[in-house]
Amino acid sequence: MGTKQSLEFNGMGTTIKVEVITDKISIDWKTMMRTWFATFESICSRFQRDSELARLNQSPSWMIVPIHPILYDVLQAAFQYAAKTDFYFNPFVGSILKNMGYERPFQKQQPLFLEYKENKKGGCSVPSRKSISFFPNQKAVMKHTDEEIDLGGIGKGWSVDQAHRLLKGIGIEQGMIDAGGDMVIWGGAPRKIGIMNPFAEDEDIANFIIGAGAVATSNVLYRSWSVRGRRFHHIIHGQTGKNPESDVVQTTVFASCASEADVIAKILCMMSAKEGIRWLNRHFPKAACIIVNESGQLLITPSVSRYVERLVV
Amino acid sequence: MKTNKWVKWVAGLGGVTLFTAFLQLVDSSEMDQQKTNSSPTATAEKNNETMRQREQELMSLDWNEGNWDVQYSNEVITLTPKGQSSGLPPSENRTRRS
Repeated sequence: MGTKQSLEFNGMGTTIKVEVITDKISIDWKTMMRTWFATFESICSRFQRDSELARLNQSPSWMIVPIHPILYDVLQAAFQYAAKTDFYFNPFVGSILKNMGYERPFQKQQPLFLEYKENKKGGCSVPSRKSISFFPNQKAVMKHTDEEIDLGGIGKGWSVDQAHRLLKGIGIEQGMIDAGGDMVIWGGAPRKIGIMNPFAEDEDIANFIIGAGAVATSNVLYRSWSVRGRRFHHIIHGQTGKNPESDVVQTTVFASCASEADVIAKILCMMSAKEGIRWLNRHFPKAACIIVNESGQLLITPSVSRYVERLVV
Repeated sequence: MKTNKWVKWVAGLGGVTLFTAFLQLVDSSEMDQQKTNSSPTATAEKNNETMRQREQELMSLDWNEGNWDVQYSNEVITLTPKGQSSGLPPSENRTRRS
């Protein structure tokens, strides 16, 4: 039985918390975690002008662009999920988010600076489905569109999955990584996790006991803003390029990895709660969810019991 | 006379063989029919099994329902707040909007 060690730091616009149980005191896992998340952010952030992603977004289309292997891998994962979700999840929504005024990390936004820019067609563009080609041998890509890429719907989850792999790789068999609510728990020791109440953030709407699995929560209330009387939020329907209309306020998804939970949580905010449950059963039957709708109802899939030992509401 | 005797034997044996083959044919087609008939039963049993698993999943979840009206269906458990919902104190670890 090892000892519990923990680390908390700011990164990727949120608080990152890592807890491990290990007896290997000599391993400097804390430096490893700080370095990993800082590296990931410096490569994949849409908001850092010198990031690899910003460079790719600025590069011309129809040209082969060699990119950092980390960006290559996360882009590839993103497009696999795009295909698997019929492009409900679509990474080519960066330009649309920019046009809606989401150009800087949300915490740094001042509502006065937010400006909605209509595009030339007078509305939101529809992101393309065939917008990128991959060249695995060169770790390079070719864009077929000038629309920008945003990894907001998968980046945190993917970085948590990689951090989990890194820790397991150095022999840490039990722990938890939490990057702003995108979590991986492993090793089997039961942990209590709360689900934030979307209507009262200082309360939990439910809590559960979990020993292993990945969890992610998405919410249309927090990262939302008004521009000239129009309300926007950060979730873009990948097929329409618009903010979806739905009765869903918040979704918490349980899956085998955080990337998957992250992507599904966003998609379940794009349709009505009941449609979302059916969609989940069809596309990701092994995943589970807890949805909060605008009436304050909770909709829970029975498959939640695959991940959770006890649920308190 | 000798030839006639052999012809009778051959005809007799042939008849018996044909009859046996016919019976086997009937028997196997009955078995096929039974197999076909048993398919819906197998599907129904499989469905029942799925239902049982679902029920077990629900039962295995150690619920604490508090102030909610709970409706169960195969696909979803719907909890409707009975009145003003009293939230839970925040846990040390929380999943929240990201």
